[in-house]
Order: sequence, then structure tokens, then C-alpha cells
Amino acid sequence: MILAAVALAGAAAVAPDPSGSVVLIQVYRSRYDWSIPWRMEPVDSVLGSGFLIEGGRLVTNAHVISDAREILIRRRDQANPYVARVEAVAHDCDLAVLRVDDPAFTAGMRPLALGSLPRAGNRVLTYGFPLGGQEVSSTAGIVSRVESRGYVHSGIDAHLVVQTDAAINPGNSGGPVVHDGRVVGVAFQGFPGFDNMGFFIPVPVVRHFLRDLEDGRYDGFPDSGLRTTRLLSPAYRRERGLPPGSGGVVVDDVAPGATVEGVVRPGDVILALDGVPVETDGTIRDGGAHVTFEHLVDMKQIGEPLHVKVWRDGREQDLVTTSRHIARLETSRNRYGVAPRYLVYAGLVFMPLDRELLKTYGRGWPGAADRGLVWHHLYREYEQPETADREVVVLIRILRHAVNSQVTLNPPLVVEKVNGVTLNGLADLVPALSGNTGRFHIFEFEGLAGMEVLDRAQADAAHPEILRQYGIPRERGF
Amino acid sequence: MASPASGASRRRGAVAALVALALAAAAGPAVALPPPDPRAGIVTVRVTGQDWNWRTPWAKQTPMTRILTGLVVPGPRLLVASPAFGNSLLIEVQKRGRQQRTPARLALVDHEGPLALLEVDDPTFWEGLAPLPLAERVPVSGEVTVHRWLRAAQFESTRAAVAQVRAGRHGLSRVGLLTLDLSSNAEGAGESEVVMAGGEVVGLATSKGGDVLAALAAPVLGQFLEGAAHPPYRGFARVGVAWQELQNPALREQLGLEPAEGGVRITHVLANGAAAGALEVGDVILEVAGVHVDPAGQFDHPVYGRLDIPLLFTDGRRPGDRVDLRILRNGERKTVALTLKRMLPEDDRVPPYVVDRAPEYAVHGGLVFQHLTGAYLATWPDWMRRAPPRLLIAYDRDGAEPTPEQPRFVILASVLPDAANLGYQDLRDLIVTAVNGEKVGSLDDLRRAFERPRAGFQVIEFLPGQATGRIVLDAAEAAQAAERIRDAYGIAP
Repeated sequence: MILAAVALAGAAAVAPDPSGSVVLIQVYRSRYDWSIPWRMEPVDSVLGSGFLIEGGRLVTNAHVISDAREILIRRRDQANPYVARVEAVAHDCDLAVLRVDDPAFTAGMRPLALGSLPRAGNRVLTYGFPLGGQEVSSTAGIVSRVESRGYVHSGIDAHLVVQTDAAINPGNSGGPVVHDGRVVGVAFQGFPGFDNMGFFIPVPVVRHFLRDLEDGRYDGFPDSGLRTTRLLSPAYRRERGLPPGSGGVVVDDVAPGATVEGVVRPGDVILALDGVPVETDGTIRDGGAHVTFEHLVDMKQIGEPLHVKVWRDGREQDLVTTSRHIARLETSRNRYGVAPRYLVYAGLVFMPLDRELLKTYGRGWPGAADRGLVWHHLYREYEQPETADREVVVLIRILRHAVNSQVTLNPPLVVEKVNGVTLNGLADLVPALSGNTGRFHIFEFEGLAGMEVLDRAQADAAHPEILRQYGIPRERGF
Repeated sequence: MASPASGASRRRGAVAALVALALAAAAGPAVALPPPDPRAGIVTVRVTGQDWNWRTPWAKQTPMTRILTGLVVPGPRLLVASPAFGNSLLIEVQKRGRQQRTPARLALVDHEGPLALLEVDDPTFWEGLAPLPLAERVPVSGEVTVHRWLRAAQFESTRAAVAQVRAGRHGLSRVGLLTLDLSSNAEGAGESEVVMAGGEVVGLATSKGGDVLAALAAPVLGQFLEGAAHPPYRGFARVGVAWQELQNPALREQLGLEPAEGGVRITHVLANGAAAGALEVGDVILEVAGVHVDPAGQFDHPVYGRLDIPLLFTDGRRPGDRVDLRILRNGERKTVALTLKRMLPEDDRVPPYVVDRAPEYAVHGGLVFQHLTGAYLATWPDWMRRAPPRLLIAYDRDGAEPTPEQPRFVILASVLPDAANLGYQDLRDLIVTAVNGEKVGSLDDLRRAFERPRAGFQVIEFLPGQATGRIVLDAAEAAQAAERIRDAYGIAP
């Protein structure tokens, strides 16, 4: 409270105490089980924080409400919780908007206003319910730095983050970080083992999310598709023919379907984006901070133009492209709130390859999972870009029954062909199986594994029995 | 990758001859033979070796000495089953557990055993020593005794029980050889201790995991000695195929196999292996040299029962031998012949191990290039899980078959920071695809390509999807830096 008073004294006008706008969020959730895809894990509960903004909306982290089956909101001045629903969620930037339909909820609550990106050295206050509790807790800290960093919730996205020494503990997640009476960020992640290092999602990312939602739909962030090498080597800069003192990063490759595809080429040097020069280490100066040039693409909405200045053929060239999002990257993210896709036939369980499937091998999956699966997931797009959109179908498990008990190959197996049909996705399995009039179903697998065969009539007969015996409610999860 | 066909031996005639020699040496041509004294046929072998440091391939690691057990065989020579002879510098032998050490020489080593034959020039060493007889066949059950010299002149004999006879791999070898699994409580065993039963040597122990002591069975030892006696030494054979089992009746029917016919289906044929040209993917192997192959990939051995089929290619056979295979191909039963082949680790695109030769490397402008090898990957603790994933894929998935253009994977292993490589200091473990526009499949390719810089620059391209796709060095700067980098990092020119 004393610290809060200090902060308030810094503001010219008398800013109201934000703690009245901060709520405790209690979530009962149940996750899908990717190893047994028709099953859900037992219900557990998590606590988080949230805060009211204009429009009667509550902002919190996506990870607080992921896989929620019930969301309860508690005001600090009232005993009875309110039921909330998710209005929008963005797993790629760990933000969500909730709404409480009961109009009584917002009575006497003041929405918090969004401020701007704080600078290193600014004093900030975090509000929230660390470890739950009835009363809002606030802690003061200093903005240590502003940078681009990975968001652990999705596992693959990086956006702007602000590091602070204000304690951010479980339960703080989703709570506001306030400077000069305005929200400058949303507390979201810490670093295990580093007590004096908390991170919050700064306001530009929050605003990007809210602006994206204005059309009633969440589209996500653009993917630049730029795979670059920093030009810290003077020899490389000379080889590109760049004038002395020039900045820029060199393009190795462009991801299929991305923002710069068809516009930027391998070998180009990215000199500037939207007029902001890119340094040789791939950073730009954004206010006082040095952040990766990707931040400029990140702050675009899908469909907005992006101006790219490149060095090509010994001269500067100004190019323009349209910000695009690569949909297939969803399979590379941690998945929330979506049911795994699968197909069970005669005890053979098929799933598409995605990050969740690989995570069933544990945290060390890049080294621990089947090498073929890891190659498809991490490297195929780069090494065989023409196959980037292929969905790999994996036989993940065999539910044993007399009809398949002599199948000796061990899952996981990448399915190449079924009844002679090359699979380009899980959906291809259905016509490949149902369209077969032969005596046998023939499954051909990738690599050294070989093939397996089921007697079609026997498999068809055993199929419903297997579903029943193994308690599988639906043969298809898609 | 491919299940290496491999094997053991049933070479009755040759082994019998050796046994006769052994008996003669041990006891003379007497009619009533006293049981041989194991103490007279077992010695201590000290091997000092030094491995290369694969992270800094111009340097070696700390030397290590391993203490092994040696078996006296006719010659007289010493037979030892251990991978310790790779990169060995000094071999010493001690008899009767005494302190006095006598130098020995490596007469023959086969890491695909792993087996080594030693010679001792000092004739006094052999005084009081006599070969022990090798068993013609090994027991499939019952008790055996494990012998070794301990330090303080103590001879140790412990009981062990035969758990099973199987095809097993030993040391760094990829060849499955006839193996005895023993249930033993001998502490720290697995260093070539001599396993005996009924007065005969039945195996040499090579490793211990838990209570299970694995030993190379006597027929394998006999085959090695026989091969050593008839140079050139031909080694152990592999077929170079991968196969799948055919227990699934629907699959059998679909392939057109009779229920009792057995057989395994070929899923891959190594282009540089013995089966290349003889077998095709999809072939079903029904018989190997007249021996029926069951659908689980095993055969009925007259003495040892069911064993894995790789043994059919090594048991009594060696590289160069012709083997007839009865196969089913496209619905047709026919006989094909293949000539067995020895496949050494360097025949792989990613050699699984490298011994007795220095790591191959090239340093250019401080960039350290190597061939990808199992030895390099093994520098990571728990390497099969923790080494860089793309390198593990190269090893496991693409590592077996070299092609004429790509005999090896060349990697940028690390960077020795210097002004010539400014900006690249943190790069490591990247697979190189081309230098100056020329494809690189070996360090020789790399060196040749570096001799032809493009407009004064060395341009190195990498397999996409790694930390960088392409880097550039100034050719003149890199050349000038060579000596400076050698001095700074202690690399012999």
C-alpha cells in the first residue's frame, strides 16, 4: 500500500486504486489426452488473475483459462463468484478476453485504461492473487528490460516481453502491471529458479490482440517467413556487396505461404522494414529497446501491408507485401481446447503428427521420439519445402484384438499408403479404407518398417466390438 | 538400421583340430587326460590406450589402462575378447597374477568380435603356460565356472549358470554372434574372463549388466582362430538387409505364403551390402542354405534351439562364402545366391565407431569440419537422446548407406574464434551441403572446394532448417589466419 501510494503520487491526476478492478479467476479444466485421444484427463483447478477493461471485458492470460470447463470470477469485495465465459482467446500471445453475463458483476468496478510500453527503469506495480487468497496483492518492481522472447504457453511464438524484478508467482498470471495508473502489461510468466525475474506481456501486444478482435474474429499474428543469418561477419557483408556501414540481415530461405513469400528471395539483405533500419545483428531500435526486427512484422494485423527494403543486385529495392499467417504452424504449437484428431479402425489408432503427439514422449522429445517423426515435424518443411502442407499420418497404437493380434510392427509408424492410396492427411484415410473392395486392407509404412495387412471382412466385423471393448465413444475424432 | 546379419560358428572340424592341439600342449599325447589346470591357461592382460578427443579432434584424451583376462591358445598366443584394443598404445601381460610385466604385440584384432590375438616374444613368458581346450559346442543350461586372476596373485573361480544361448552383439560390434548369457555374481566381470565347463573353455565374457554376464561362445572363438590361421583374415559377415516378421496370417495370405512356409519380408537392402543385387525389397526369405526360416525371423539350430537368422550367415560361414537363399518374389518361389561380405564401420555413411585412426577433420578460417561419426556423437552424455536432433536423424535414418556423391556427412562441428570468422563464433553441429557451389560429400570434397573460392570468398552452405543456411569467409583472410589459429588453439600443422 505504501508503494502504491508512491506510485500514485507520481501521477499528476489522482489515479484511482486499480486493485478494485482486479479479480480472482478460478478455473476448472480438463485436458485432452493425446496418448489416448478419445479420453480426457481428470479435472483439476487453477487460479489466476484478471482485470476489467472498457466494454465490460476481463483480460487474463490464455494459459489461465485453457481447457476450461468452468470459469468462476471472484470480486474481492463479494463472497459469491460469477460465472464467466471465454469471449476470445489467443494462445499465440497468451491472452484471453472473458465476459460475465450477469450485469451485477461490473457494478461499482472501474475499467482500467491501457497505457504504453514502459521503459527500462520505470517503476511498475503488479496486481493479482498469487497463490489465490481473498485480497488483491500488489508488489512493486522496476522494469529491467524490454526484449523479444519466447512465450512458453504456445511453445513456438516470440513477441515483445518486459522483464521486471517485481515478484510474479503462480496466481499472478493475468493480473495487470500498472505504471502511472495505467495498465502497461499483463503478468504472465516467470523463470523457474530466478525469483527476481518476472515477465509481463506489454501493452503493444495486448493492443494487437484487442485490435485483432475488433472484427469479431481472432486471426493471430503474421508470420514473416524470413529465415535469416545475421550479418555480423564483415566478409559476408562484402560478399553481398553492401556499402561500408550498412546494416541488414541476409535471407537464407523463405517459408512457404508466409508474408514475404514471392517478394523476398534468398540472398536478399533485409535493410529496413516499414522504414525502420535493421541492424546487422537482426535488431531494430524501438524506443530505448533493442528488439528483433520480427517485432515490426509481429505488430501488423493480417492483411496489412509491409514495406521491405532489400539489397539485391547491388542496389536498394523497395518492396511491399501483405502480412500473412501460416495456418499449418498450429501443429507446431502446444494445443489447448481442441480435441485431438484421430481415427480408429479395427484397433489401429491413427493420428496426425503434431507437437502434442511428440510431447507424449516427454520434454526431451526431439531426442527421445521416433527419428522419423522428429524429422517430419522439425525438418521436412525446410528440406522438402514442396511438401510443407502435407499432414503426416501416424499409426500411434494398436488396440489388441484377435483380428490384429498377429500384427507385429510396433507403433509409432508413419503411414505412407493405405490400399495403394498415398496419404496426405488423416482425412485421406476414410476414402482409402471405405473405398477398398479388395479382400485385404494393406497398410504401407515409411522407412524400414514394412507393411501390414488386415482381412477386410474380419476387420469390419471386429471394428464395433473393439470400440465397445475399449470404451471408445466415437471411431473418429474429426 | 538394417538388422545386421551376423553370426557364430559351427565349424566342427577346425575346432576339433584346435582342441586336439590344445590337449597335446596341455598334457602331451597321454591316454588318460588329467583335467587341464585353468591357472596354466589364463593370464592377465593390461592394455593402455588413448582415445582421440572428438571435440578437439587434433588432441587426445587422458590415457586409460584396462585390465583384462587372456586365454592361452595354441601358437602359443593369447586370445582376448574386448573392445579395449581400439586405440591401444601398450599391451603388457602378467602370468599367475605376478607383478612382472612382459610386453605383448597385437597379432590380429577384429573390433566386430570384438576379439584380439596377442603375441609375446619373450619365450620365458610361456614357460609353465599351456592352452586350454575350446569346447566344440556350448551348454544351453547348467553350471559353468568363470575364471580370472585378481590382483594379489589370487586366482578367482566363481560359479555361474547358463541362462540362454542367443545371437548377441559385443563391444562396439554390429554383428550378432553366438552368445552365452550367464547368471553370475562375479563383481566387475565382463573383461574377457574365461568361462569353462567340463574342463573346456565355453566362452569369453565381454560385458555385464545386472546379474547377466554375456560371453562370446566358444564356436565364435574357434572361428576367429581359424580365420587368423589362414590369412588373409576375412572377419565376420553381415548381409545388409532389414526385414519384418510375418506372423500376421492376413499379411502372409496377401503375400501368397503358405501357413507353414515361414519366411521374413525384406524391407530394405543396403546398396553396399552383400544382398545388393541379389535381394529386393518385398522378397520373402524362406530358407537360408536349406535351413527353414520361421515367420519370427528365427531358425531351429540343431544344438541351441531357436536362434535369430543373422547367425545363419555367420555360423560356419565367412565373408566370401556363397549362400543360396530360397525366396518368394512377386508370387514366384526361386533360389538366389549371394556372396557374404564383411562390412566395417567405415563402410557406413556415418561410421558408428572409429578406432585405430585419428579423427578426420579440416580447419579452415577457424571453422572446424569433421565427418559425422558415432564417435563424435558419443561426446554428448546420454548421446542417443541428447545429441543435436538433426545429427541423430542423420546417424539413425540416413547413416548406413553412402552414395558415390555423399560418402559421408560433413559437419561444421565448431568454430575457433578468430578475426577471420567474426560473426560465426557460436555456430556448431551443422550439416554442410556445399562449398563455393560444389556439393560436399566428404572432407576431400570440402578441401578441393576451398581451393576454388568465388570472387575472393569462401561460401559455405548448410542443410536448411539449421541455425544458418549459408556463411561467407574472406578467402585471403582465412588463408592468412591458418597459422595464427593453429598457434592459438594448439593444432599441429
